[in-house]
Amino acid sequence: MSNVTYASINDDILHSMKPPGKSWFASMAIILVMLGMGIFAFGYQIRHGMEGSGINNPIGWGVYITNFVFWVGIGHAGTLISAVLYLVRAPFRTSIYRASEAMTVFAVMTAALFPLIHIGRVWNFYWLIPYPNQRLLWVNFKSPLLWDVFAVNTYMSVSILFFLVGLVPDFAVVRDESKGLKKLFYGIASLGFKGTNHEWKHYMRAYLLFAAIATPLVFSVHSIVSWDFAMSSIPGWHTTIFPPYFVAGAIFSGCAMVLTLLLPLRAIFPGFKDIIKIKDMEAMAKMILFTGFIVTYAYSIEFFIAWYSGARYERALFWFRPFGELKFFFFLMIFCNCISPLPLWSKKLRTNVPALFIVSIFINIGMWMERFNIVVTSLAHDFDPYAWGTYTFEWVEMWITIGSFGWFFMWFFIFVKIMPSLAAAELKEALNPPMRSAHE
Amino acid sequence: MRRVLTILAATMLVFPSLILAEGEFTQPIKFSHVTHAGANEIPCEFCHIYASRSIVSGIPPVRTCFGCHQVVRGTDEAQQKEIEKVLGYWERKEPIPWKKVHDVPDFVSFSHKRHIQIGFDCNQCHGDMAKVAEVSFDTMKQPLSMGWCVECHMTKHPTANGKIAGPVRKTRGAQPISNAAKVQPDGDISGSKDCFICHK
Amino acid sequence: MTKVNRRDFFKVAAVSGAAAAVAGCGSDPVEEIIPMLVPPTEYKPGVTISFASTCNECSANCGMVIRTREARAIKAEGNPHHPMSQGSLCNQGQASMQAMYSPSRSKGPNKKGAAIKWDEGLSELAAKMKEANRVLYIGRPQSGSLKKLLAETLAASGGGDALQFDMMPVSTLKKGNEIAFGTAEIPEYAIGEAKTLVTFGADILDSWLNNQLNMREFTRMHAYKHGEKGKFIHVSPHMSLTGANADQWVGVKPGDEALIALAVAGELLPSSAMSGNGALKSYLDGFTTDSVASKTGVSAQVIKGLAKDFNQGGMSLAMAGGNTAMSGEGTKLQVAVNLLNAVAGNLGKTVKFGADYKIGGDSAQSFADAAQKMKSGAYQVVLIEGANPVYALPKDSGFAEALAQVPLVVSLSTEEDETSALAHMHLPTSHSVEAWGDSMPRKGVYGLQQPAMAKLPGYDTMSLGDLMVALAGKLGAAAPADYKTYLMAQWKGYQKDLGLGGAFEDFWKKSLQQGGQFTGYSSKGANLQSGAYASAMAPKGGQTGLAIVAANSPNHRAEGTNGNRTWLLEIPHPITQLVWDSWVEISPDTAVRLGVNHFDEVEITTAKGSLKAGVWVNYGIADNVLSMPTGLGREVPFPTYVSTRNKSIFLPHVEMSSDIKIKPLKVGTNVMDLMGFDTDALSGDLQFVTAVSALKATGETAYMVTPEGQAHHHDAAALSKEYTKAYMGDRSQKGRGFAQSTSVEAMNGHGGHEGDGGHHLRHRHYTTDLPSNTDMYPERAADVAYHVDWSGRDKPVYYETNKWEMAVDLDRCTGCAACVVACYAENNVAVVGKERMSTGREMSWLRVARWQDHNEETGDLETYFSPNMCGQCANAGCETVCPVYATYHNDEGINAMVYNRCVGTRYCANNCIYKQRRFNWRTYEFPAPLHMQLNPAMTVREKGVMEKCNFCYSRIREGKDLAKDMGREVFDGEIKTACQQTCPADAISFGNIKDPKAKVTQIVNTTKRGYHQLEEVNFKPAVTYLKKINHDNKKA
Repeated sequence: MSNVTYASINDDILHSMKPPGKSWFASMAIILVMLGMGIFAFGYQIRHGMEGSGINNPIGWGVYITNFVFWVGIGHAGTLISAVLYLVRAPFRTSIYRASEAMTVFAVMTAALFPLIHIGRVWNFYWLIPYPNQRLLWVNFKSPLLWDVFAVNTYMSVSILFFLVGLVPDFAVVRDESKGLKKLFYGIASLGFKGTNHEWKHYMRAYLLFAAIATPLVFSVHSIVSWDFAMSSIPGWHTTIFPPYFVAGAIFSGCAMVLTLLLPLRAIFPGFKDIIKIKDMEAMAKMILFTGFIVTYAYSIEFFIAWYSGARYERALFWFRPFGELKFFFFLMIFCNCISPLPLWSKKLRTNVPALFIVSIFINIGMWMERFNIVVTSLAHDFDPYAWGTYTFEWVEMWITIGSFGWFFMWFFIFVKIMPSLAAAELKEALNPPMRSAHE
Repeated sequence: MRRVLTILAATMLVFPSLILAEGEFTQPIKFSHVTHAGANEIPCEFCHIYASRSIVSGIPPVRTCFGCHQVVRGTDEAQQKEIEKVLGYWERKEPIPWKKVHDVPDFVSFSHKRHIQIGFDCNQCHGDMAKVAEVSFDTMKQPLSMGWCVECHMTKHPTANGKIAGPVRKTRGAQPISNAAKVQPDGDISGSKDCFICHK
Repeated sequence: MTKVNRRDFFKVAAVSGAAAAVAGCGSDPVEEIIPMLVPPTEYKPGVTISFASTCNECSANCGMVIRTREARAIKAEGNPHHPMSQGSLCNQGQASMQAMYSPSRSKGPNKKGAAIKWDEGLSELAAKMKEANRVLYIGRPQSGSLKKLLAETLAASGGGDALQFDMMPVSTLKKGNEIAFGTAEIPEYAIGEAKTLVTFGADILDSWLNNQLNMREFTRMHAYKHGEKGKFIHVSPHMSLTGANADQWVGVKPGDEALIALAVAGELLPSSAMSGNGALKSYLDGFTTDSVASKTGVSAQVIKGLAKDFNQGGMSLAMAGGNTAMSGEGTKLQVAVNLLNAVAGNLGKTVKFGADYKIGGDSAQSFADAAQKMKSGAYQVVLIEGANPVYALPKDSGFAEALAQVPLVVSLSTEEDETSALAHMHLPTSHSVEAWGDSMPRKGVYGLQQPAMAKLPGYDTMSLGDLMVALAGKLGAAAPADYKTYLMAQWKGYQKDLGLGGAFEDFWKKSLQQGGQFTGYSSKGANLQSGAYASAMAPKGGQTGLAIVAANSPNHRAEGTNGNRTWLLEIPHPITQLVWDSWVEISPDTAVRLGVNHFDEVEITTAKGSLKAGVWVNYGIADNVLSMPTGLGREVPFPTYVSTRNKSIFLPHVEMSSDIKIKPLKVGTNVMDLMGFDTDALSGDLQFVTAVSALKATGETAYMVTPEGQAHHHDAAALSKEYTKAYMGDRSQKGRGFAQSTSVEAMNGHGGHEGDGGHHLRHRHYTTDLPSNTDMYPERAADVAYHVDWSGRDKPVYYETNKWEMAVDLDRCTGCAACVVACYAENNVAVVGKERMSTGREMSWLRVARWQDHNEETGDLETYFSPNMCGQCANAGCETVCPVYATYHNDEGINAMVYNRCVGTRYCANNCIYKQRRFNWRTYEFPAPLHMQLNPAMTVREKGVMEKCNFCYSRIREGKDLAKDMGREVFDGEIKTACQQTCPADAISFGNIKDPKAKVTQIVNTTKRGYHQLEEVNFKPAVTYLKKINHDNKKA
């Protein structure tokens, strides 16, 4: 805390919000190209049907649903860190929760696109929404897909609110430091927050309240997403382990993504180095280690149950995963999720930025592969051998996937420039307020 | 003979629609239901012969028009002009390309016969055509939308077997609803709520 | 035009993403409504009208019924009155709809593409015929009045010859009968009455003679009834569909069949009535079981077993014929088999003469002679109708060259084909669905063929009969007004022949109604002539070394006339399950010996040429024998959808609607390129077996496509040597019991198995037994009814009057896939093409899965078929997961699929354990004029919509509608699903399970061998399967 002061925090944050430079625009350009590819591919898919994607008859869900689950998963760490760790008063949270919350919001915004992208007649998507209509038709509340619609929307709206509430005092800071239109804008955004004791009192209560509301959602949303699979009849999907397994996996991937985002952020804005301390990163690493083990356990128990249950189809599937023609994805998943985090046992690596970054990338890939394995291999090898199928990617789904990353990073880049990417107010809590010494 | 038929059948098939913006069309002939059904009180099924026999009511064959109009040549200038057109079609052995107004989508199988047989009156869905000068979307009485069908099937027809307070046929050829049992074996003349009754 | 039409069937103008979105929300374009000029009396829009007629797809001339809507033919079905097809129609017969609406139909009379008038065309032809001193007419076999008219016309032209083109080697059969019995007629083989049937090469269920009649009779004989079931043994180099239905398949070298037959005859002789015949005895002593066994490699024990089975006191039957028998020993084989029948005392009992079947055409030799005459300039005019000899005959027949020598070649074919391309003038005749005609397939059967619709609009054609009449007129013969009057004149005569009194009008009307006049015939036996056991008839046995057989299948015939029907190409071949391709079947051991693998591309070389094809390793073919399908290698007009095969997954492969053209597409290869023009010495029929000089792998992997999942999948089992040693992959059910079996002994309560416990086909190592109690949950219907009880809303009533269920008898099913064609025709199922099949985009609602499982007792591979369609499950997985109720359980037990409500989440398909749902990955084209075949009672589905079997609900709707009009309930058998209607084996029963008297109810309630697929998952499907019944747990 030595060289960090109220002033320096303000400076650092405001520095990060300076008008963007060349490098920012350069990367933004790339991002927009990616997004453009996605939009083009989606347009093509709407016009010509789903055949541009690799999904086929036994395998009705492929990359799209994989992406959906992947992004929803990413969306977990943020709320977990900001809400759950807030409730348990984990100190390392303060420096990172703002950025990770932003990540959550944008990840869920990305995820929410995929249910639309993957349906065959997206122009009829509104039939999925229950509203009184002239057809006198209602939606089928028995369908897990519908539960998804609600779960994801609830989660999205709450995390957005929580995000904005957290931002209020910091917007106030920015407002105070800026003038003109900018001042007006942040003035509105900060809801005229003045920082009086009275306001702080109520603000903290409100924040606590939102934290309390957000916490259960962290667990509910991914459990419900997992029911898309657990509620079906297909071997490899029809299993009770999914909810906890999915939540753990989500936190696992979320934390990894936090690292993937914050480490570069830390590098780009030198001032952040003192604030986002390496030991915070290390804490994330520990979280990864822990959830990584839950995930590994889940994998092994799936195989055990497949053998122990004696269910013919289950066994066939779990033989197919490691030995079938999609085994590459399986072993890639095992390597990324079970092997690659192990080095983090050593404190040396845990505190080594490049190492952390590489591991986090591996985990991101691995968790995507996990969802891919669940979605695709289960469908590829279910009950009727005559109807078994296999899967190859096609350009449309590739481009849409690329586009989804473009969409996500576009928002994050904008966020970094227009919002304080660190929680100034809460960081200051940890410091002794600047006082004029008595004898001066 | 057969050749003519199929050419027509085929044209029906190959040109089910010319893409036109909705409403922007004129009927090839200024046919007035007011004159026919109204003034001259020609019953609907005199021209729409299949209404009680088939799923479609049928548009009158050109011969039917000719049948009367070789004699009936119209009273005023305008009428004569239109009737000339009709005769023209007949001489050229050409069908009259009417524009379809009361149109249910092709993924729906609606049966006129069922509804007529249990004693519906044409007016109940098509409005009082006797007052319609020229048929266009503006003269449609009912939207023919799914909600409209379903609403009737669900509310106006209690599914309690057969005891129906349904609409009773008022005009020509009215049949007492009592023969419902004959129409439907179980005596249930309520509209089914099964989607598959209409969606094919 | 077709695209517009297709779209508007579904009312979504897919012009662009945005517009599609708008259109998706139901803005309809204004339709035109075109009235009739003068409606015919029988015309009723929206009502199906059927016409009884005769099928002309092959020379068997089965009776058929053509269903029409709005005066358009939409479906071909069998004619129940007709004594041969008896209500069923084969794959090719049903595909006559695609012949009628074939995109390759000729649009009108033309000279090398330059359109001409009918009159000038005919005048020119007539003139040329007059000045020609000899005219040759080559056409499809005609057994009816047309034959007479043709003769008259040719006579009027000053002399000509007429040849009937058909590749079925029946001349051999006739010759064989002439030698053995002194009569060259095709007798009736009463398969149905035989206790034991032994076929020597004759693929009776694929293509030999009338395969519909055969299948009917075969079912009568082979289906389990009253504790009995006939025995069927197939002796042939190639198992084919026929052998796959046999209880025993004896694989022999081509040409060895005759030896076996004689050995069996020798075994039977002592106990035979002819045992006194010394000459015969000494002849047969030349073929003792042991000598034949050593010669053919078929064990003596097998031959003795054959003899034992065959000794039925005259109630056994041996048949020979088919392509595989044409190895140069063809006639001798016929003679030998005739001799066998005689020795077994079958003559007059199961082999009945007097029927005089008219099937097949003239021998190939006669075409060779004709070609010679053409070369020598004997013919100045050659007319070719409905035949494609240039494609079908081997290249060195010199037929094409000969045609080039002829001054005027006129094609009268309906479609443009390889032969019409060589013609100077093409005068296209109408398809038989548009034309009058008749046929006499056998004595006592007068089939009448009437036009079910007017001529296809936009196609200026003339029916063959009318054309002949017109031609005769121009040639100055006394010709009637048109062919119809000519026909009626003939039928006046038939009325006399039949001895039927009454006014001709009534007779004619009745004939039209029932599709003709059908009576029996007086059958007689025959006596074996000494020529049958003259030394000249002694078979020498097949040549050694690698040989290739050109084999027919239910989907394709050597004539190749229906090699361009997309249904028949898209529907998997019953045995190999391959689509859109030719392939080489090869036995595992031979494959190992030649060092080729399953799915390798190989180059086959014979004396006559070489071609490339993919290897399909199969146990069902003798060692050292290859087999390729006939009738392929033709060009099919097909939409050019964008291809992503072997292309980068990161670069866009974009298709614009304007890119989609209908372009000819070559499918497979023509096996005849390998065949020499070698004919049978005695009969002159073409040989379909020839020696292979070399077969080597090209190193490529062949692009062979099959919907069969296991074909590419390897799991635990594939690793176990048991399946891999055969180098043919694993085509088993993995012990999942889709097709289960039991034995006659078990059914009759003894033989080691309890009543319904079939022998389990060999399981994988992870086999488990089914849980005893699958009824943990109530049926959903009951569940729902219970749960809405408390709500004020009125309770849904399930299965009040109807619950539609189906029973599929695997003991009857032969796997011919006629049901699949019927399904395509009835339900507007799209044809997607080879590439889309390869990426799992097939659309078929009904698949006949073919399993090759190891018998756990003998360890031998056995072939089983299970037709799988949507089970309309009572606890369906698809219903609960659909977020928009696009699929739901209707009150008649149908798992209803409302296409226009579907948003396409595909969750239902994922959750279907039977994988019976099909998703529209794009909007598929129906190349004009094929779109006119679409059934108006069914929606044509667009991209993004899920579809599946609904038990032909359009037919159920139609049936109920009719019943209502008559003020009665639907009675059993009134409503038939398309697959049931056409099944020649009556394997499928469908009806209302609430009706205790219904056939399906009877079966489901009384059977000892019923089961549901995947019963343990408790989906409660409405389709009950009846186990296959084998003789002591063995089958081919």
